[in-house]
Amino acid sequence: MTVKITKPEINVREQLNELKKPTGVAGEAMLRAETPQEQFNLIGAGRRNLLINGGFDVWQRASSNTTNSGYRSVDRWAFNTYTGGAFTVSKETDSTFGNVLKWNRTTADTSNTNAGNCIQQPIENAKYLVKGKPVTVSFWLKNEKTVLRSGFVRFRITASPYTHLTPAQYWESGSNEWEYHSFTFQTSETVNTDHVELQIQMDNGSSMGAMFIAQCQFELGKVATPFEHRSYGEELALCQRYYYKTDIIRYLNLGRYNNNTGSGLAWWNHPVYMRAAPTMSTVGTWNTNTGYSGALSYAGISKDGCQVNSSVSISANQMVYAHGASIAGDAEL
Amino acid sequence: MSYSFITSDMGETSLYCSSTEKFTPLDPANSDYQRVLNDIIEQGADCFEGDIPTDLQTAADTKQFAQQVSAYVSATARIAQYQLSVGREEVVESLPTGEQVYSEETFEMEDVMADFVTQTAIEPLEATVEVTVHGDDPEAEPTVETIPNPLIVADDAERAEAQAVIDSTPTPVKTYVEEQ
Repeated sequence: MTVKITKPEINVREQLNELKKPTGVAGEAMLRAETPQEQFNLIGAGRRNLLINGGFDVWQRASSNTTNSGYRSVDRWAFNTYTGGAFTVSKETDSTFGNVLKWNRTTADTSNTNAGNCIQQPIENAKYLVKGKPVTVSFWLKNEKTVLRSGFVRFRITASPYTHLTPAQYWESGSNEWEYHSFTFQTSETVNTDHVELQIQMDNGSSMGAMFIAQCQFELGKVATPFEHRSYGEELALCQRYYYKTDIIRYLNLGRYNNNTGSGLAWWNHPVYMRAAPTMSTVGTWNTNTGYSGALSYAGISKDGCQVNSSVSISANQMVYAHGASIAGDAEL
Repeated sequence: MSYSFITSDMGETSLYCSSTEKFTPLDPANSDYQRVLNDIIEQGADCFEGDIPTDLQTAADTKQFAQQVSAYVSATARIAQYQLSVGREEVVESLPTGEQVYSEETFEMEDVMADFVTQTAIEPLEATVEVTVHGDDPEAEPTVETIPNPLIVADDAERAEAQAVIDSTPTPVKTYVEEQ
């Protein structure tokens, strides 16, 4: 017996067209990823920004500085100039980004060292995180002047001889508008210190005038993803691991147990557990009137607190107030 | 900088710097503590009011020793590089090829040896180079001057600097490095 079967005709071309999905390049890359880890890396999921205070929101020390080296104003960012020239740094409010850093050259640098005039941030224990890997730095930059300016971006180790982990890459800016810059680096396999430092040169020429920088991000991978916003409270706590300064202290009680006379004593707790036992100092002047502590000294300093001693000697079972100044702890790298 | 070691009447300690009015803990992870050690290395007792505590002096000595070891190793590595003005000769060594043959004289398997160039020759650089010099007068013809080769000048300067480091390195440091 013969059975005759009829099938509808198939248009092969139409069938193939139906397989064309509306995916872009990024979508195709996602589909081609073979592991969840690969997909995770492609979209830059999770906590991405390895910088602290990349949005320039926290300024505990001061809202501006005219001294051109070390940590002076904005948290976690240090300044670097070698010879010649001078600049000021200040916190500015921008209608697009909110808080931004203004770097303003006030004295021309004719030394052509081509290395100073940097803002830089050391990143703690980044050695194993970044060595031999692709990393990406991104930020927004605005040049106050229309003259063309440029500067480098690079990574180096945090101790002498400050070996560079990447070749420098250069930004250029010649308009008075915000411009987005991103740079991808392949870091060296050889990193001799636990910490690495990002350096962004604000101008390698000698032009006077201001540069503005906002939303600075440093992340693993070859792709610059959108800036990761963190709450002010979270960013402040991250900064305080390295440096904190209290508001003016009203009444800190320093007392003496019922034994012999001596300094009034108290135990001071840092606001967060710090990177290292910090260097302690007073910002301002303590009240020296009767009943007050006078200058304070700090001893037995640990990562979570220290002993505070009054300069005024008191009798057993007495106490004095520390009043009118701020306490600062510094555990920067 | 002028430091003093303070002890509270409860026995707690810290390092006080009178010029910055800051109190530094004796914590090697603290950057200011490392600066104190550097100042002790560079200035000795001059930077300290009173005697330097033994533990602090020991920490400074240990840091200085490590710095000298690092500098000595770097300097010897720099001197070991060939001199640009001299170049270097080719070195040929007889090395085993990885093959072995049976020797009827010794009745054992023996390595097959062959000559390999283990260091290629490099010609010395020219001692001088010619440079074209443009004067202040834009209409004047440029002149050609012969100057010492800048690469050789820089190389010799770096070598001299490295040799100075080696010469100034204390013997115990050299002995330590050689024993490693």
